[in-house]
Amino acid sequence: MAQPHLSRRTALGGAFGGAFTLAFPRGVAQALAGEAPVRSAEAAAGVELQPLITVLPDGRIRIAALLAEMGQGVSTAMPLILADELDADWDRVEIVPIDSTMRIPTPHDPGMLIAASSRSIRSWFSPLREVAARGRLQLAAAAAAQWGVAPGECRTARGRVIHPDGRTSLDYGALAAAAAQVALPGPVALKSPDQFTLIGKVGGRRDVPGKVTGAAIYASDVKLPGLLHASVAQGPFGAVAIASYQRAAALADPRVRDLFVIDGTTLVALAQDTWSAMKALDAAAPVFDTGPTSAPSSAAYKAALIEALDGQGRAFAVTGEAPAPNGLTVVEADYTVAFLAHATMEPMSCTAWFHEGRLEVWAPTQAVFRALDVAAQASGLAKEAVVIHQTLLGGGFGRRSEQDFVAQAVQIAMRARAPVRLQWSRAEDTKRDYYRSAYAMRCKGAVDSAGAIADYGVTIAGPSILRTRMALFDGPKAPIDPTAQNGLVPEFYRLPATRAAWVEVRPPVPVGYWRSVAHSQNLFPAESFIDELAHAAGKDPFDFRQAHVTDPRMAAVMTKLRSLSEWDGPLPPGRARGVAVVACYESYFGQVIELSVSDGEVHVHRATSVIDCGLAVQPDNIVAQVEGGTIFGLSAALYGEIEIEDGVTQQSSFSDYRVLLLPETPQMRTHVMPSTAAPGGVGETGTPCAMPATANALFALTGKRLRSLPLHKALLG
Amino acid sequence: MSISLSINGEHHDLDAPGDMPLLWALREVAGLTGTKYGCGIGVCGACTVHLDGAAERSCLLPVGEVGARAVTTIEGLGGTGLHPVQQAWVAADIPQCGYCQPGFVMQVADLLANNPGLGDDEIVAAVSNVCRCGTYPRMRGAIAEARAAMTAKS
Repeated sequence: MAQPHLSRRTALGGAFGGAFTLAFPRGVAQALAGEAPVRSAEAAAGVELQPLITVLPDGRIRIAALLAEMGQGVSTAMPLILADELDADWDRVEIVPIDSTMRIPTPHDPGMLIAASSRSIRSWFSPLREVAARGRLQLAAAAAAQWGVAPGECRTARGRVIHPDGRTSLDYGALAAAAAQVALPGPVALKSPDQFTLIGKVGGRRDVPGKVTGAAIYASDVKLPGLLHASVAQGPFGAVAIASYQRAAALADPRVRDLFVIDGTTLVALAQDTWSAMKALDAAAPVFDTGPTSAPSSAAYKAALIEALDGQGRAFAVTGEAPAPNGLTVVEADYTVAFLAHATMEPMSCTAWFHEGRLEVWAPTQAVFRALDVAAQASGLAKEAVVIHQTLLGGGFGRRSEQDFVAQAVQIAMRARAPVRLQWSRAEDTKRDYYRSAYAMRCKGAVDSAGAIADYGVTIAGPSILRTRMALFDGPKAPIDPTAQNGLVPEFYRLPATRAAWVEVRPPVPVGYWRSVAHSQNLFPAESFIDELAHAAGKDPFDFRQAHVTDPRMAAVMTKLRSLSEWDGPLPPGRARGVAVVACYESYFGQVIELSVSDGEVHVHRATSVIDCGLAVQPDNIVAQVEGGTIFGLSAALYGEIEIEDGVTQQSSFSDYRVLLLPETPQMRTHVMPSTAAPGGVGETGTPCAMPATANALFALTGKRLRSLPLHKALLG
Repeated sequence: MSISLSINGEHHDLDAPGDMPLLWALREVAGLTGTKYGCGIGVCGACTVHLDGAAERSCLLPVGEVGARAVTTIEGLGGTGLHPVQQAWVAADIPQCGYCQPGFVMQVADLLANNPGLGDDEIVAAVSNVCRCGTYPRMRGAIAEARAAMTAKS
């Protein structure tokens, strides 16, 4: 039975909770005024109707954003989905971030509590609506009881229950206490799409105003009394010990409080401010002992990958029978992709405070409940004594699905006995990333005399990301890692015979998830090779794809893309176009890149994109995600490369890890296909096509097939 | 050591060493966290502020060298409301993760205010700030909107 809700966050977080509400300002005026909403009194008076939904007496609805806001817009879209099914008044909805003590809706599948795999909306679309539908029924039942009418005869709209007479109505705020007492029957009916009032209709992101006024609070911005600042030096990959460091030199600065080692090889400086902490690490000049094992090298790993392509590997996607080669044109091509950094704009950071037996952590994490496990383990505390406050993320892209920065901040705070803000330097962030690994792929296929694909085979050499993360993937009977194989053999083309194999080559450094994961490395060979087959068949690359597409949704995307990109229209002199398509995260996507080359630079002039992501919750944000994802993909396609020598990453900042800038940004045209199909993923879908589409355009322009990323280097090489 | 600064029209006495970069003095001494640390080497522009109305990257500038120049941060750019660039940024829903956006807003506000002769393409060409979410495509239109609003005002 529901009780008047005393927010556990309030009880634990005290007056500092207000700082985090500011991260999701209710309005520009408040944000500008720096007004911290007073939450304790309000929260005590509010009623938690359903998980994530609190009704305040004045009728405002406070909705907790279940998953991390890292730029993808879920802090607006997920509450919007709840508000629509609740028939809440969107203008009276305020959004707050979650913390690890909040009641969350079922299912509690840990995989659904991570902002990753472009699954926030596609996984939670129905569960969130069920939660809100129950709340709406509770409110209607409470009003009906007050009026002495049947609940089914009452309507709801804009935060009010409307009497069957059509004239009388009651505000949700006046009904919440009674509504929370209403016991609900089993399953509840959900709206049909034609009944949506907010989904697909309301644009705008609630987090935007605070992000242009400086009021938005990231983990790097958390203010606490007596706050100390920490930074870390982790040395090269493969370090086994810190041989020496200049303790006295570092502590000579009176602003430096302490210098110590955690995790065996991580030197921590604790100071009055971040700059002094970073300076102390320089003064300490730690010397790392890398031990007897061979030092990690990206060049050596690349050579090992290429060599591994001759190996046997583990077979997958074996269909049909390889045809006899008579009369076929056989095509073979090897591809490689480089290590990539995430390079989030906010270098890794985290704030933690152990006080009165409790540990509070303000974490810019993609997974609050994973951070909870890590913080409990790092502190030795029971999970009940730990609370993780979700903060805004200054970029995620997969990097903040790792919790290494949480474990560090917790260890430092436990030792400091003071609130501590950990801030990595940009160089540390670049050099100690969980990189997207390098891979090598060998494609072998054939087209027949009619220009149809007769055979399609591919071998990939690379690591397993999951081996070190899930026991299932670390044994002789481990399944083939989806992060190695996904997207390598397209499922939307007519391919009469397919063969694929994975040769695992253990990575020399930690590797991780990078926006679009497997597709980030596999779409480049897959959609480059389709172009190579088209060329061998003497066909236009777009004709060739359309002749082979079997999936009707992909076919419709292609048709739209062909016209929107003016594929058949004239090109300005010196320009060429390339196309690529992808099916991933239950969405369909296609892109045409139009470019030229001059003075050794690739100039991308236009990027035309079409996405079918099923039902569009916030169409304008989908456009933003597709276009932003395209920029992310173009940066990797043209320039992205991390090189490691003797365990030391050679890149250290945006000065030597080049990314696309505003003046280099192509003109974008993006179309979202209208659909009532179940929502598909959006955040990562726009990223991978940029790599093959750019390579295909360069081939069309120069006649030179570039088979290694980054393309800028391949073009010059 | 106490350093006197004018920040957003207010006088501040900051307890900071003179060689501390202005970025950190603003963030951790003055408590103005809207100015962001991105790279610390003057490349990414997340730390952009105005000195006497001109955009400067604050991560390399020692606070002791600011002197009498008036510092404006993102918190003070719009005065009591939103600056036209901020308004245009909100109207176009530009920010995604948002971390780099204060720097972009400060850079564009300077370019528009101090170079009325520059066209939109020239403004775009002059912005070297980094955004990893890839929010660039909407900026050209927003720059034009902000310019129109600023022209109408003046």
